[in-house]
Amino acid sequence: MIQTSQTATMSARDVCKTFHRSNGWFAKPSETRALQGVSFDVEPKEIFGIVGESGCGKSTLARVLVGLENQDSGSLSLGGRKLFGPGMADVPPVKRGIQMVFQDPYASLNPRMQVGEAIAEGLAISGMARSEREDRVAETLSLVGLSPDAAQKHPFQFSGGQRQRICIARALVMEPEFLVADEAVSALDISVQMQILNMLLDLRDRIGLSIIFITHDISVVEYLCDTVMVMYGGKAVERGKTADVLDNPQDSYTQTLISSVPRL
Amino acid sequence: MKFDFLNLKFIIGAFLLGFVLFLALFGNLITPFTANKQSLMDSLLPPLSGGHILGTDHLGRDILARMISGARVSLAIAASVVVISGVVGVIVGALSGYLRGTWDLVTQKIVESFWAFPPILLAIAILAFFGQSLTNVILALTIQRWIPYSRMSRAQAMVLRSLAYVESSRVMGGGLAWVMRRHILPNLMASAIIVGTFSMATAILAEASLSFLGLGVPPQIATWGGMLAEGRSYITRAWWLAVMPGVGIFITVLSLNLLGDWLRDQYDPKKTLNLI
Repeated sequence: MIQTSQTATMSARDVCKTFHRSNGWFAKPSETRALQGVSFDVEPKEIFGIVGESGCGKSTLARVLVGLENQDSGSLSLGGRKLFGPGMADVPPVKRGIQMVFQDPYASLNPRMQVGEAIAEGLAISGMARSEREDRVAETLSLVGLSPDAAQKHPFQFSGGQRQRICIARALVMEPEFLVADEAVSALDISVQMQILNMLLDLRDRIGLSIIFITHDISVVEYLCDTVMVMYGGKAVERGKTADVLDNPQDSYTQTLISSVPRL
Repeated sequence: MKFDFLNLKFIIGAFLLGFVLFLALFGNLITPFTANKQSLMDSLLPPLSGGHILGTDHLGRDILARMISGARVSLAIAASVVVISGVVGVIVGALSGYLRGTWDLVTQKIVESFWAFPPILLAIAILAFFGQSLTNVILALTIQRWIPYSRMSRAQAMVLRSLAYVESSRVMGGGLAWVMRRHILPNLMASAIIVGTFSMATAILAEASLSFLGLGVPPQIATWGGMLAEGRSYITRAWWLAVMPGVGIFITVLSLNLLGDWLRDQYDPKKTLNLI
């Protein structure tokens, strides 16, 4: 049975990240300050939403959390275990216990690999025996609502929503303490979005999964998230319970963001 | 992936290349003569006379036997050149595109400096410096031929590295060797095979040019280029001396170009590769 720790709290402090881009040998390099001191805490079994416009740094934050991007400064700890911080080497991605689901379900799966192979990739890297891997894959497929014979198929045989389920299965099979979902439903139809969101809620209840859900869609936040952090220009401008933030926004940017959502 | 084997390009290309391959492998069964057996009594016999299917040259050597030897040399050299340059080029290029940074900078400067030399001049210089031998011809032709593979692989690896499935592999603990073997290299195979087919055609031409200039393999081995050079002075009296090796070069290069074209169409009809 796929297990998650159910007790680990994630806390990030003052995470900063600046991108430098060279403009040739003689020009000054340009800077993009993607993260400017972001701090937050996520409780176990919580679904934590990060919302903001394109370019606000939310994707960079996700990449820093899982270790795809190195932060410039700041610290991150998970269940009392330090993942990065001043005076220590960064813990490599796979040892962090954080897995990620990406936005584009079509680019997320190698078209040459069978679904079973793709899901078991992390297990294969860690050296698990084939028979054990197959058991885990079958179990995880049923957890995300796919039949076990999906393992022998190739990604092109699945729709976008099914592919996103496969990607979630691939993340869950690693038994992460946290799942980071970066715009995981943005590329899907509304009806399929609902299925995936309900599945995430169900997974939280069944296996105690903690999720950081990154989106630009306020209605998704309202439906899914317990707490929410609003980002703007690389900073966290507001944090709180989803209902409090949406009903009574304090920050001017949050007010603009919420008032710009079309209401039916 | 479904290949369309009824395509005219494939049928003609495969037939011609199969013919040359058959000649190289089993040619000895067709002719009783050997490539270097001289017989001055039988010099300059026209095709289909005295038991010589393609005639004889100015020293009375059987042209068919020399063509067979030439086919072996051409195919062996071109195949070795393509395999060695392909493996080197794809690995160097894939690492450049995937790792970026210092490795990329250094290898790209090397690539640019190699590319700055006219290819045949560089090959002549290498052969003049190291001496004529089979391995040196292969070295001289390989030294620039890995570059198209490396450029193509670098460009593709730069796209692949940012794909979500490659990043996800890294998050799941995939190191450089794993990501290369499972995700990057398999995706480069199709383009490498296409580049390789065209590159083999130009390698055959380059080998023939070197032999024509007397700089290829040692002169006692019969080659198409060498036969062309010898036949040049007899072109008015005995056309078959120069025409036969010319036809050999022509059909081999044509067959490889047809097959390369066909392969490229199979993988992507819209893509144009102007790398060679």
